[in-house]
Amino acid sequence: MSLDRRGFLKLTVLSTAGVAAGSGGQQLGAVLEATGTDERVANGPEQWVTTSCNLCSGGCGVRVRRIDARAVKLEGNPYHPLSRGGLCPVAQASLQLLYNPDRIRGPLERAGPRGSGQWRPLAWDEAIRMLAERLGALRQQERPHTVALVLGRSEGLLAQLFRRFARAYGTPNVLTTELPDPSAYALWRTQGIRAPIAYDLENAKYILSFGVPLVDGWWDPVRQMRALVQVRQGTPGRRGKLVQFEPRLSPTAAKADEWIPVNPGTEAALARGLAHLLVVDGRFDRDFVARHTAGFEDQVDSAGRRHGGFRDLLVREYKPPAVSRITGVPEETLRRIAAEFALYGPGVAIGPPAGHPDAAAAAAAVHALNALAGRIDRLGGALVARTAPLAPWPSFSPDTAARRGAARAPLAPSASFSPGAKGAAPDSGSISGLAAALRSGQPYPLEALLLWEANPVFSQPGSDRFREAVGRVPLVVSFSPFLDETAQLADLILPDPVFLEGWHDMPQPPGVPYPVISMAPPATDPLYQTRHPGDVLLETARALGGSVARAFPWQDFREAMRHAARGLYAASRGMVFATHGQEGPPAPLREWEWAPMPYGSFDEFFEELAAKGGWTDPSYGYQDWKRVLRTTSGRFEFPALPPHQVAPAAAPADDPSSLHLHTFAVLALGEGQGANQPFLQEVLAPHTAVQWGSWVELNPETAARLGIRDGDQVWVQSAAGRVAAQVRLYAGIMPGVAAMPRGQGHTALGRYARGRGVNVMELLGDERDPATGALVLSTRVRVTRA
Amino acid sequence: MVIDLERCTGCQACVVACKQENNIPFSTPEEAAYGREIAWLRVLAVTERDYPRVKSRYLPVLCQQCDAPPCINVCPTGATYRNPEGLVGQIYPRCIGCRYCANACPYQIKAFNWYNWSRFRWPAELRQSLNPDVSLRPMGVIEKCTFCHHRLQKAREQARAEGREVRGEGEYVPACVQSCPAGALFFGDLDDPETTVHQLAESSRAFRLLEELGTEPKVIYLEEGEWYAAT
Amino acid sequence: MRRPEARPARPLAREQDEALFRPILRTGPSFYAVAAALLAVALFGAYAYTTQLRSGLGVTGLNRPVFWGFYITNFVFFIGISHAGTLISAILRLSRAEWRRPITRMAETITVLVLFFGLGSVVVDLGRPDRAYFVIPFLMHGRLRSPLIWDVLSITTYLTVSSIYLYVPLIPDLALLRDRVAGWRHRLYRALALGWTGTHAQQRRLERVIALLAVIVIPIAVSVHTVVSWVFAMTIQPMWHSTIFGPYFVAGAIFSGIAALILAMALVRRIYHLESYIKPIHFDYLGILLLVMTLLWFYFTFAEYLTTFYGHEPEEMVVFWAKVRGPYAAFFWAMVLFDFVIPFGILANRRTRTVAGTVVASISVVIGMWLERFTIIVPTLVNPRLPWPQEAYAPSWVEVAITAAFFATFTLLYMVFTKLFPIVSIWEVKEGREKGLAEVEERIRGYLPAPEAEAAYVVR
Repeated sequence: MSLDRRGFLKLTVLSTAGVAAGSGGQQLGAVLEATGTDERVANGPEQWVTTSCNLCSGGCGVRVRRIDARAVKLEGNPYHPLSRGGLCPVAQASLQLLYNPDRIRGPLERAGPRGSGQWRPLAWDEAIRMLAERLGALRQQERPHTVALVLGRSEGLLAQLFRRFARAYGTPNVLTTELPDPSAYALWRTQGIRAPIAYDLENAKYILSFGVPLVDGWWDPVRQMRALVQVRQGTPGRRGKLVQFEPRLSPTAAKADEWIPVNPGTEAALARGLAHLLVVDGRFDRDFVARHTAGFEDQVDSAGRRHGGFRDLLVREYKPPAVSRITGVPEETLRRIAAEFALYGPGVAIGPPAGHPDAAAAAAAVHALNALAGRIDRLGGALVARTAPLAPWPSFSPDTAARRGAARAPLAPSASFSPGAKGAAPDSGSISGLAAALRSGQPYPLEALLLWEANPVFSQPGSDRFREAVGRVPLVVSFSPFLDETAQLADLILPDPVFLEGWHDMPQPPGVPYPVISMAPPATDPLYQTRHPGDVLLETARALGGSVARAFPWQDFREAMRHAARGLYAASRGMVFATHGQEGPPAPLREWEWAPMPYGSFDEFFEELAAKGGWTDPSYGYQDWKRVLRTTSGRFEFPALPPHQVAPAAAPADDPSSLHLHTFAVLALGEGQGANQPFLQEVLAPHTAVQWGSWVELNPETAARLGIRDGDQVWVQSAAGRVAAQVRLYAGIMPGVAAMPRGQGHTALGRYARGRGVNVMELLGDERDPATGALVLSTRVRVTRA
Repeated sequence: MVIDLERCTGCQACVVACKQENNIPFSTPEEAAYGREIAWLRVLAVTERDYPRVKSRYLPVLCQQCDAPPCINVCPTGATYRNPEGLVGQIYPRCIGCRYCANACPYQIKAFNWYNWSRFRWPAELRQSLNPDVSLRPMGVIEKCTFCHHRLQKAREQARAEGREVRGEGEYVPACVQSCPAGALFFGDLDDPETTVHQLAESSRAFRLLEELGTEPKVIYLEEGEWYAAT
Repeated sequence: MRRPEARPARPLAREQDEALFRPILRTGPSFYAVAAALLAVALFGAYAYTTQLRSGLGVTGLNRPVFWGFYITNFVFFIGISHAGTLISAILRLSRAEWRRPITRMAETITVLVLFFGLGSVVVDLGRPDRAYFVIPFLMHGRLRSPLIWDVLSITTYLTVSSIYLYVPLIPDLALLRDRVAGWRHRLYRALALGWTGTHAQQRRLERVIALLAVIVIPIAVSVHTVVSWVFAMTIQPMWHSTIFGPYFVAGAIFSGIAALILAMALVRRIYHLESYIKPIHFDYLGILLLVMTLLWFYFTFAEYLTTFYGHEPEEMVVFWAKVRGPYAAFFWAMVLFDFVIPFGILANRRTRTVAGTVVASISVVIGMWLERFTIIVPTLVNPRLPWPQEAYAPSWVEVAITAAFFATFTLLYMVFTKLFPIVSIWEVKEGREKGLAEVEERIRGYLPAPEAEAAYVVR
């Protein structure tokens, strides 16, 4: 290269100018701006509003701090009898739900082909008219049964309102995406009550948990966290113990005093093995078994035939060596735990949760263990929840069209058991059956599908199957506040406000023995043109007119709620959170009646109820056998169950490279609802460094066998599909098991959720618990390096 | 502050409460994967021993508000200082972003503004949730836990208005303490013998993080207990 | 001492050292080509820096807990190189090593120029460079408790003194130049020469000032790198908190400084054809000095790592193993190779201690010392005491570009310096030629005992 001085200067000038003109000049301008000094946020008058969280079934009390009209922070309501001022990360992050930039701003009508993402904004009147016209036309054509409602939650007044709508309109097709609770199945089989078992955790001193994720988002996590503190530290000088049986060292197992790894899907055998030891060692509650149970001893029927009782089954089939072989728990551990459970009570056995293979049978076996130990309806034992005395809505008479429609066979008949709402008829279908029925068009094609808080395309296995099935329905209506995977396929979106923006009720959390309910006012004004689904239903009913309109005599959902609250007022028991001039939160489970509340009128009561966030009646009368043993015999009926079979998903294949895939929920994500909140994506699991993604946990031993190292990218392949994720070696997982979090891998739901990790539902087959119809959240996979 | 590790379930409500209260920007997946996430309070998991005797413990770590803070000595401009309450403060407008304090801190708990988050990270919608009591930090400065000092200031104003001193306990708690669902965090004046924190600090379970370094932390941890058979 | 070479008949003084004026008076196209290439690298670095200014330090590879990386490595490295200069030239001057004469200027120039890059590295590392002036003590917020402020003070002092130390011996040469050129350069040299005419009084004053500066600059130079080491040693972080860091860093600084000087000498000699001024003997002598520093470096490193290993403190051992057989083992062992094995192998052998040999050893040492700074800084940060999620550190393109720009700009400025000022001190060489021989002879005679005195002792 040859250059003289002039050339050099020219080059210098040119290159300098080039850089400056290209981006340097702009950059320097940006630099000045970027290094600006401290910025302050606009201030304004402060205001606190009491409401409740509805992001899980816990319904914690919330106080919202507002500056001007903006909500800037959520704090726990210290007067809430369960959460006592605590809040979980999901509630703490909910402002990112409220102010999420990807919310739907108003009603939308599909403008392009289905799923094209082209929408036309609508006015509410127009949207409701459209819905009412379509639904009205179907009723005119005597086809109201071709409308299906898919509900994301089965409890609460809003769910009841949807069911009432179905009845008034005339369809038998109400489905829920919630997994049926195996403990409800157990309680129904043994005590004849259709409700989840309530556990007196606070008063227990020895908890045997069969895989229950007590602190990871199951039932009411905040209450359960507080209960654990009670168990350990509540009685001075007496430390309770939590034993966790689970294939994985989950956060709950990490907090347990003892973690005992157990082969996946063998909880039923484990519970019966422990029961065996109680029986043969004579450590069971003879008095309770004799006086309040049936089916324990062998029975001779009228024909003189001998039927093996529960004791016989246990003694014959569940000897420790066999149980140890099935479950992988050493014999001496079984013996020690059985002895501890009998000696260091009050103890209670809980679980397993829905989603485990064979969960319903296992739940019945676990509950039988409680009965043997005499832990039914006793302090620190397994109770039956007292429910809130809400006033029932006035009855109504559906017209002929509605009666005829409702009498039709449901599109997707449910499994043999489905708990449904307390007192109400069980929901009529299984969500997986729906997909099959839609595709086959049998027994009849569906004309309209309404989805509330349900996103089956994401949350059910086989998203393609659902996508295709939903595509066959001429009218799909979603109430989702976000464009989630299912809402993307909708024809009409009637966006629900976020819970902070509207009146909402929270039913009693499952597992809590006494009534705690919330009726909460909005904490902020609605940000957008959203409308409460209850109000939408009422307006639609009015637009449909006739007997449908007559079934809904309220102006808005708040009024319907007020109606129910009259029951609380009339009961003259219990209390609005933190009244009675008492400073601290109420103590749970004390046996006394509350004095009638000092309110002059119902209006005054309701105002106080809304202002304080809820109502509770924190007392429980133990050993009320008439109330809790509702079987035909009036006794606790030991489940006569066949000898244990290892559930298919857990059965080891011949192939040693095949692993059991254990899926788990992380508190932050739930089943995927938390994925669009950045703060939640950052707090997935402390034991892995993973944020904003998915991972596969493998035992170092398993990984070594497969030639996989920590941090490797792997394919996880099941019969249903395959996903790629990064491996985290974790000593807290059984060899031969791979574990992955649920709730990631959204393909929609906004910028923060889309494309983060993988959706493990893609791996699951459509295996269901035969007893409850609950989806089995595990399967068999192969893990190979990508 | 006292943290009862037996109560802590690692749920990280404290982490999110802190971020929401203190206008801490959220990360992107790329930044988080590269250790750029800002968090004044983090929950560490310590996994010990091998399967099946493996034990996992959760350890919430925030600024230990040391009485002998290594970070303060090294700060070239006095941006990190010890305020009259004994808290380790950070003056954002004076910080030159040398990150010396972050390196000197044995707890590695100081956070740095790698980007101009305050201006560009929050979409207009999310900006509405910002707390007016806490300023947004500009690019290039260190930030850290303040024990929600703005809350203390409010409590002090309140006390002054009522013509009294700020009480040793119960006047205010930081956002993390307020949120903890398990009640694992306690807050108050350690020097006041009447307070819960003072009494807990005397417990035989009490220990301090890296106490041997002589940093004299004011965050006290309570060890997890062991189950024992009782009749 | 080697026998002085046979001297040819000397031309007049004015023409005598014509070779030393040549770089200033004549510039070939290859200079511009190289300068353009270096400038391009520098401009790209400037672009990288504006990117960093605009987007923040997020564009680097730094993270939590690795808050320091390439920039601080460069800082320590450049400050180390600066010891080339002044320290060596001052020691050689004070010890009246006559062979120093052609190389002192080169050494001093390295010092002054490279210090800017040392300081520049820190400024580039700042999150808020716009507030860099905050560190000024007394006037702004600078607090004397912070080792960084000690750095600010010692480096600025060092920069000031070494600039004077470069400038003062330049004055007679500036006067020479003033008398030879016209135009803007004449005006520049006239102003800088401060009216030097070479009178006896001026000569005497000059010599006294140089001697005084040489004495002052040595402790300052030692303090500078001691204080740099204290930036790390004053913290309580594992493998930073070490008492030998001061002398260790100073030794390392002199080590890398000598190596840099040898490289500069070789380049200047080659490019400006100064073989008759910078001779193999210079490389040989500096090579021996470099050998001594190699051994000293090895001694310090061995002492440092053995103490750590023997004490076996768990926290220190984590860092120790990270360096010795962990993720930073490649850097560590490369450092040992470049700082010890290669230079020792070359320099310990008289046959390989040639010009080419010392240059190879010097390149090795410069690379090795950069790696040493890196292995001191990063592995400690990557292994915090609490079990944080492990983060690694890899520089981003911005850091690499800015580092490259620093090296390029340094080289460019050095080149420009040789175009403006004689890179070999003309008057000192002349002085050596005129007075040196006689002085040395006299001095050596002074060392030797007089035969009479010995006799007197014997008699007593």
